[in-house]
Amino acid sequence: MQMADSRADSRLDLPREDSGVGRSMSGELIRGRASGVITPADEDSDEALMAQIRSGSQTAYRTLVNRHLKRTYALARRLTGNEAEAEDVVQDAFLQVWQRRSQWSDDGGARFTTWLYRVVVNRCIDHKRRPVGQDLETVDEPSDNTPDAVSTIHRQQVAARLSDAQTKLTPQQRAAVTLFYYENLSNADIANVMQISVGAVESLLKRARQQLRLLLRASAQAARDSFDDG
Amino acid sequence: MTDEEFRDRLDRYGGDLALWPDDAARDARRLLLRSVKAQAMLDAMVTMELALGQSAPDRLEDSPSPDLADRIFAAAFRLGPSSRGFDEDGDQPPRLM
Repeated sequence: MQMADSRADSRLDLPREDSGVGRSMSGELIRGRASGVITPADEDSDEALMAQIRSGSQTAYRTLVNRHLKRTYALARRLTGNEAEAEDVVQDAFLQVWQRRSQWSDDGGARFTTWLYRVVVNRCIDHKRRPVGQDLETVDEPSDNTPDAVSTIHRQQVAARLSDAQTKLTPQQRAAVTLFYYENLSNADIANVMQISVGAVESLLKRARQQLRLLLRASAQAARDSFDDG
Repeated sequence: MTDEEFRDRLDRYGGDLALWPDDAARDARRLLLRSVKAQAMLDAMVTMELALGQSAPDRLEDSPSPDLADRIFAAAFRLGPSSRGFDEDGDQPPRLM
């Protein structure tokens, strides 16, 4: 299969430059909205901090945690849909950083952010082994012949419906969607975090988009039916 | 490329044609010149993706409890080092369906 992502060999510190919002996994803001973690050039890199942490530096550990805490929490919050679970996941991930510090090796293995995202995503998937939702096959195609039905809905209404629809995705689909649309990672970066092939990422995103589209249409149809009834 | 083929690729690669394989993107652009249905599909996908990317990263619910960092530090500094490596456990691949 041909890979859609022209930056399939990109490292995780490379942004999706064609997206409206570019951000590196290390938090470097490329352009767009101000979010994530900005690491000034004169501050230690994650890997440099990890080297200090390995020597037992609590100061370096505090710096690293504070640097990534908010963004990591936001990722976990989106994946779990629950604040308490997200905090548990994040705390567990950062505790592992401290506990396993002596095993950290920066010899060409996974970058720190890759490892951190991997732990968070895996923990969130474990928390949500199977959501109480609908399979794609169970979602009826609404009898709506208007091809651009979605485009007629106000964007905020779409966002609200999407938020609900995302809870019906499988944990893996939700992880792929979150990493792609919220974290702005390329398919190659998502594959690296989730430790699956780029083709598998494409398949997850395809199924997720199909399901979101069908759920949106069903939701829009229900809203119109409700309006007509009133 | 037919409308159905366009739909398939739209679901797979998303609404940004710059992220599509070159051949597919070229065929898609040709189709879009003549197919209103394909244009509508693309509009709907772009609308959905804009909404998906519309998140407000600084929303209150995206911020952890103010004391979370302190709780992490307190818990971490009580713990001894683990013999488990970074390649264990946390690096296990997520299980697909």
